Amino acid sequence: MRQDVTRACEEGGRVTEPKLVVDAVSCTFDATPVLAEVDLTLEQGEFVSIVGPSGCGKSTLFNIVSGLVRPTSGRVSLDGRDVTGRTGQVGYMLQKDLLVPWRTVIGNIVLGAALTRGATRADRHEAARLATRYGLGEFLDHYPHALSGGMRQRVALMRTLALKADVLLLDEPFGALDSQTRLDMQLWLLSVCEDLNATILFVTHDVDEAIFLSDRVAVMTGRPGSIAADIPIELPRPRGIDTLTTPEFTELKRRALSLLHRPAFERSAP
Amino acid sequence: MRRRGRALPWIERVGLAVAAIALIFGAWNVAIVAFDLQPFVLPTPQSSIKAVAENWSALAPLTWQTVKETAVGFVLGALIGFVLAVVMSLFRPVQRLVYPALITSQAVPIVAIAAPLVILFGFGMLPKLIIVAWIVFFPVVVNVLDGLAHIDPDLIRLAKVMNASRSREFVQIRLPATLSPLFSGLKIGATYAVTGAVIGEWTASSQQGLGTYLLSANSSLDVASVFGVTLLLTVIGVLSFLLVMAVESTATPWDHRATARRRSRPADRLP
Amino acid sequence: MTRQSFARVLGVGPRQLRVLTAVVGALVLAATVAACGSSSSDQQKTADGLTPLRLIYDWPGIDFEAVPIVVGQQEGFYKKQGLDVQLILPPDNATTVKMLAVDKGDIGFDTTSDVAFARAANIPVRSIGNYSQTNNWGLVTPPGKPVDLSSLTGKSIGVFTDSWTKAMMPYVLKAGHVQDSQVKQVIFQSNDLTPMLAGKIDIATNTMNYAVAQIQSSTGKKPSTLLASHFGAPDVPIWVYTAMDPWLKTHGKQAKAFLAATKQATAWAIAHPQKAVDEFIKAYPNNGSSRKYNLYGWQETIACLKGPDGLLTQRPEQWTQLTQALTSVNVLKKSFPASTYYTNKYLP
Repeated sequence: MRQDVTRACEEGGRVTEPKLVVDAVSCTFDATPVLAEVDLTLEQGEFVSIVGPSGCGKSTLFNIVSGLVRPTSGRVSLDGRDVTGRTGQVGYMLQKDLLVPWRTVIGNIVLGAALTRGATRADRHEAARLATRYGLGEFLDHYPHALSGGMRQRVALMRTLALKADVLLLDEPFGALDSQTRLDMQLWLLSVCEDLNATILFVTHDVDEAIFLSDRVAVMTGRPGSIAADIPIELPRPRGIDTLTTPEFTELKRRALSLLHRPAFERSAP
Repeated sequence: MRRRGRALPWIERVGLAVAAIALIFGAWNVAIVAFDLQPFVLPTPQSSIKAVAENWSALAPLTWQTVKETAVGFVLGALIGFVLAVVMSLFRPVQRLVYPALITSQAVPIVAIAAPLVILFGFGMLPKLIIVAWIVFFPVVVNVLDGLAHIDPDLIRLAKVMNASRSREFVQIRLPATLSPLFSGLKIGATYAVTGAVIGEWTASSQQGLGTYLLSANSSLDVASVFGVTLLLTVIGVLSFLLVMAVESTATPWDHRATARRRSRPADRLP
Repeated sequence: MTRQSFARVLGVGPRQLRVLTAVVGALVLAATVAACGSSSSDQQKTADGLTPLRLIYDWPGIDFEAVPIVVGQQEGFYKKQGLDVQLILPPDNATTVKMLAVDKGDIGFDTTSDVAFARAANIPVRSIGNYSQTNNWGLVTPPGKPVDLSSLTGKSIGVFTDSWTKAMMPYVLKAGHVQDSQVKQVIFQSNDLTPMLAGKIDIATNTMNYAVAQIQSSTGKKPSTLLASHFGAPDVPIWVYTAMDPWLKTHGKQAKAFLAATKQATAWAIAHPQKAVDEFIKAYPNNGSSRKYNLYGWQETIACLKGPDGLLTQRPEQWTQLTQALTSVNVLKKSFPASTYYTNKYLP
């Protein structure tokens, strides 16, 4: 089912392009359809979560958007440019922090630059500023093994931010953390997003997390994967712990869960 | 109840090592008395050490010669092993061709190859370097190859997503992953390397080393010197191992539990 | 250190410490019991009523110097004396004395230098009869290329790791007025003559029976040689038959029988060299050398077997000269009067 959510804003006659458009992407591996006609559009600064059961193709979708995998059909556009199959256009972060063990915190944050054009002194200063801003100023020279799980994910996120990519793909980044740390990280991510106005595509199992963080929650069904429903989350920002217990939150959660467990192909009111 | 082993302060570790040596020497003396062994069959550790200490002025240059052969051969073997492993990991067909030959090469007894090596390369340092390198390069190749093969594929995928250039990905991601396994291989090689030098000296040698001294002492029934020099060679082997360990902890600070952080570079400090 | 802190340092719990102590204690006990129940090696007679006699050779490979022994076995000289002589090869060229000393052999075929060094190490080994009577060790160069002692500097010299070589080399250096470091002494395990002929080394050291055997059989010509006794080394016998003093005390009769038979066998082999070599080759078909080699070798060996007092008889001067010489070039640390090293008591 197509979700037509292209919104053209008219501001002084100009039409702003959506940031990221996934257009009718489908993907088949060895005659098995993994993704079927996925459409997704993100505006600049939007935070969109994808929730769905395991195996529904979320990771494949991310691999396609990041350019690692070419879709069998369909395209991916960034600011109107076709970036299908091209890497280096978006930032990508996994559940595994994938910090390079032989690089310090600074070294890891500048990894994107180090792997492409070489990290300059300016890059390292920028990285130090970023780390200090977000609470890791004392650990600049530490190696990953000396950091806790939460700190490592923060470094991984900062590494992703340092890429200065317009769009960030975050694939269950807090999945491996304990619930206390996870809540801390969610609050922290919220503040980072506020600062940077980043465009983020976020995958999670956790409905609470999805609703807490996002502007929209896309419900994905699997085998083959497609977006079954798109729920706008109209909770006011900035959000905090109190948001989690408001009646609006609970209502949204009820709707999301019902869609997740009995995916009815209903179109939500704009 | 078993307590998890804690890191001992170095003085306790040295004390334990000394105690272990004392225990071995004690057992050695007991064995001599218990089995009624003649000094020309098994001399006491004390007389063995004395034989070396008394002859030290003659032994010092010989020790240096053997150490030289060991060190140079070791570096040679390590370099060849490392390069070979990298080449094999980059070019699969080379690996399929060369790897079985490498394994077979190790099955050849060193004592057997020593003689043909001397015939081919003469009586100087070269055959000894080859033998030492032969011993050292195999654990290095195997370990480094394994290290390259077991790099986290997600890390490679991350590098790809970041649009890493092939060469930078190799230097920043693949090569550093070889350091830990490299040192594992080096530690193994270091312990055996000195044996290779000695075997090389036994075969035919124009320079005097500890190996040739062993033969000479044996022929004049100076058994105490034979055992003393053997102990000396053992010490060299152990010291080689410790040296590699020391280099390892400076070269791979991220692996060392005690080092949480690196000394900071001035450029990393905020302006 | 208390037991608890000892256990803690080792990283084991109290129960594991008990097990460890028990294991170590059991090992120590086993070792002690093994030591007490040491085996005695009483020789039992062979099937045909002969007394076995283990003869340890001086070199790990069999060669033509063993011809008299082989003749003794094949022509029945030992059998007539009631002996079954077993020729045993040592693992290397410096172990013959040690094997006698730990009762792995009864009689040794060894060098006089080995006897001297053994006595210096307080091993009670004794020479009971001469094999050769002269010092036929020297420098060997290809046929037609005589040795030049005045130009030894920088030359490569092939050497072996046995005690006779060790005893003789200082004379070579002295005669050539060179230091140890000014020549390249290349150590060989079994054969330095072939490399010398192949040009890999300049000079080979060896005894002349082997040198002639090798070079005459492979080139048809005799090598250029220079005997060490011509430039200062003592002209004393190299090879002797040996036995340990404690063994001689209890097996004097066997020693006598052995030497009597060996003298007869040696005389026979000298009188019939071709037949003797054939017996040797028959007994050791895989001796690794041609018949020509073995024949030349045995014939050269005959030349140094006859002494002033006939076969096997020793003189005290050979021992005093030897020990003096070895002491003067600093290879022998302790020396004794000649009577310590030899006896003619068991000679026929």
